[in-house]
Amino acid sequence: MTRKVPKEIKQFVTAILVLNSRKEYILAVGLWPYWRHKKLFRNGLKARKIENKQDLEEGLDWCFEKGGRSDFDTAYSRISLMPMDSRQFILKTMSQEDDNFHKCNGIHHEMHRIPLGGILAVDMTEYLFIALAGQRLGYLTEEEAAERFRSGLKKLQENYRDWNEFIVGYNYGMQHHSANFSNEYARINKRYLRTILLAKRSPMNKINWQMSLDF
Amino acid sequence: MIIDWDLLEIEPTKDIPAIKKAYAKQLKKNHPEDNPVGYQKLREAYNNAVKYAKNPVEKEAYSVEHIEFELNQDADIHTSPIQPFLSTPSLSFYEQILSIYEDYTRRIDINEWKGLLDQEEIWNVELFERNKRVMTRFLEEHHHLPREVWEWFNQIFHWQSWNQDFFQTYVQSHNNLRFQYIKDMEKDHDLFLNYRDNVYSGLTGQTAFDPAELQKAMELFDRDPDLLKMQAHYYKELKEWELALETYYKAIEIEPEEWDCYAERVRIYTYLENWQIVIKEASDILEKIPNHQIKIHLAKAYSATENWEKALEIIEQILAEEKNNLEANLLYAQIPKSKKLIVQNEMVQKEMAPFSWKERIKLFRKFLFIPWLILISVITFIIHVSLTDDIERHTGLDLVGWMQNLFQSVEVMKIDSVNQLEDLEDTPHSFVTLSIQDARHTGLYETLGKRVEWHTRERGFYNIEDATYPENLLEDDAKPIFVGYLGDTAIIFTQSLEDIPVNLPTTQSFDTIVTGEWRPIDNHSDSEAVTNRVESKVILSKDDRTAPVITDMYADGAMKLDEPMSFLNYPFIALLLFLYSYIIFSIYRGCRIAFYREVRK
Repeated sequence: MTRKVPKEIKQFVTAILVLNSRKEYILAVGLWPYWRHKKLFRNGLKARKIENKQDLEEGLDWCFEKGGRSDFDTAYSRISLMPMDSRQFILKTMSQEDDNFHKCNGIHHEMHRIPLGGILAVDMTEYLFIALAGQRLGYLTEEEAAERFRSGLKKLQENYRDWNEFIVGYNYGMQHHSANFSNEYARINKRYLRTILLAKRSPMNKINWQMSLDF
Repeated sequence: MIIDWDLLEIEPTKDIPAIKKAYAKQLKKNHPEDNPVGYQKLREAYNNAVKYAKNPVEKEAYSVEHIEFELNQDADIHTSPIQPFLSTPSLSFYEQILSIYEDYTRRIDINEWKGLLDQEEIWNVELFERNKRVMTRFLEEHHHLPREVWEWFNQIFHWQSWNQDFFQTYVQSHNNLRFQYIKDMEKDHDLFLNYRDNVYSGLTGQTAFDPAELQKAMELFDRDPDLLKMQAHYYKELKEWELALETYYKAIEIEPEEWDCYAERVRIYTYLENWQIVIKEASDILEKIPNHQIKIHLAKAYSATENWEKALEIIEQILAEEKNNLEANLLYAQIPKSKKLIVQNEMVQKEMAPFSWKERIKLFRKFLFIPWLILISVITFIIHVSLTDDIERHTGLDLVGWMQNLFQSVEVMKIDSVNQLEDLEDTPHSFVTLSIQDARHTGLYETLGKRVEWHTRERGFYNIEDATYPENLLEDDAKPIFVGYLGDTAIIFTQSLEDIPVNLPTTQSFDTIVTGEWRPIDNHSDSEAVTNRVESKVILSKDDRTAPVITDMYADGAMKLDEPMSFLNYPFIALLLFLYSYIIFSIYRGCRIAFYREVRK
């Protein structure tokens, strides 16, 4: 029997994908009209160089198992396992023009504030986007997509306590990937992400982060 | 790394003595003086082969004998005028290196090394190069030294300028772990440090992590805070929270100022939502280090336990230092508004309306100049103008009125007597249909306020006889004014030029049905002249009628309400409505998009 994705789960996935999309568009005109367009998914997969089912599954597996977070995890382990003095010494010896310096410096300043889930949020939003696109464009059956959604959401729930942590993890991940920890970047993201979280229409206000995934 | 084994004339091997023998053999054929290019290539092949043989994966512990052998081989090969290093008093230098290294307490003391390298003979110009090589080779096999010792060695030997690989491996990529806690170990320091290095490399993703090595290291010595941190890190990855908490606690017992371990405990308790412990431990840390990152966890704990005042106090402290801290902003925003009023500040307003009106107007103006929107607006305007006359003529209403009337034409009253018209005095602009008899053209025209005879006239009656170019008046826009009888009463009315022949003589009478608006005549500037003219026309009419009554209203009969609008208009009306909706929606959406785009710049 084909297992369909319940509406609440679709909404949960969509809520997460808010962060992975044209955020201003979603804030302006709402989410559902946006997701109706297959062109969005087609372009999304094209940008990720996914052209067939095999590419799609490889992309999904990569996001799930490794993803961009491996770079962060390596840097985080390296920095956090060092004693404080050594961290400061290392940062002093690095070139400030190097992206790696900004990444390590960011970790040094945030290492005790970053949620325990780290920057998994970025990879999982990517994972869920690819899975949804795969379903909409016919690469994945409803059942396969349901399984992907469940595994992705479960991983997120295990690693973040609530929407706040998820957003903070996502924001930190984006900063890490772009090696941009500037005040301006933080200012823009703060205003924008806060709006997303607090907006009345935001699905994040309607969906329980720890909702049951039994379907 | 490419190794020219053919040049050495041997099969690939990791047997260093065999490589050296092959090198010595080939050196005779490629003497530096006879064949410098050949010698250069041979030397490169030899260096690469030795590096290959010393592959760290299969690296064997080199003994003093190895080094002696290598250096003797080098000495034999090069037949250097410098005395063989190990057969001279310099051998004591090597022994001193070894003796310092083998005593762990001395090894990690940088002063011991400084004392050794302070000896004059080390700096002897002829011997320095050789000593440098001895030291380098020794350190390749005995690298468990603190970072500061390595740094100091590098200042002397400048590896980055002549041996980048070595510099990269041992100086730049030093794991920066601490050595002082291991002093308490009785033996097997190097074995422990090997395990610790491997665990560190494994956890930081440089090599595959083997939990067995962590176990072995812990069995050898379990009081090294760095290793305990690694173990706790491993437990965190396994989500073994209790074990991780316990391990951090052990590290704190050994080093009470290990603030990272305190902070990690708080971080785990936050994840576990054990708020009371978070409050206690975070407060303890903040007493010692007031600006520690851990402050955010304290704010979270206070928010979660609904201690709003404390939460606000902490959040404000964080925001005072980092006003763009996302998490603090999110927490602040989620505190109930009623509680937030306790602390009145700028943030409350910012939260309610994060963007000023000035910003919004600026963005709105910016958006209006978008070319496509202008183009669509122009098209919409053209369609609107071309349709609006037609709609008005057929429905009696303009576009908006027609839409407001749910696309129904205006209600037209059939008037049979003057009494009925008099009843309409209180409701002028009603639409009427009149059956007029014995109508005559008055010779006057009503202009519609448009351009007539090269200048713009107000709406009003106009005598064509006064016009210099009557053709222009008629062609441009004018309606002839008639007078006719509704029963016995004279009524003024207009008809469109389409219905009445332009050259209609004023003496010829006709019967007609007029449909149009019942309007007050006072609006006309020349109303008195009109009245006189009408009177004269009426007097000229049939003698058997009673005295004429000139009403102060007239029927503006330009409409064709009795005819349905052409079906061809409906698609255009639909298009027009769509375009209007599109423009309104675009402005709304565009402003918001522009607004957020601006925010994201």
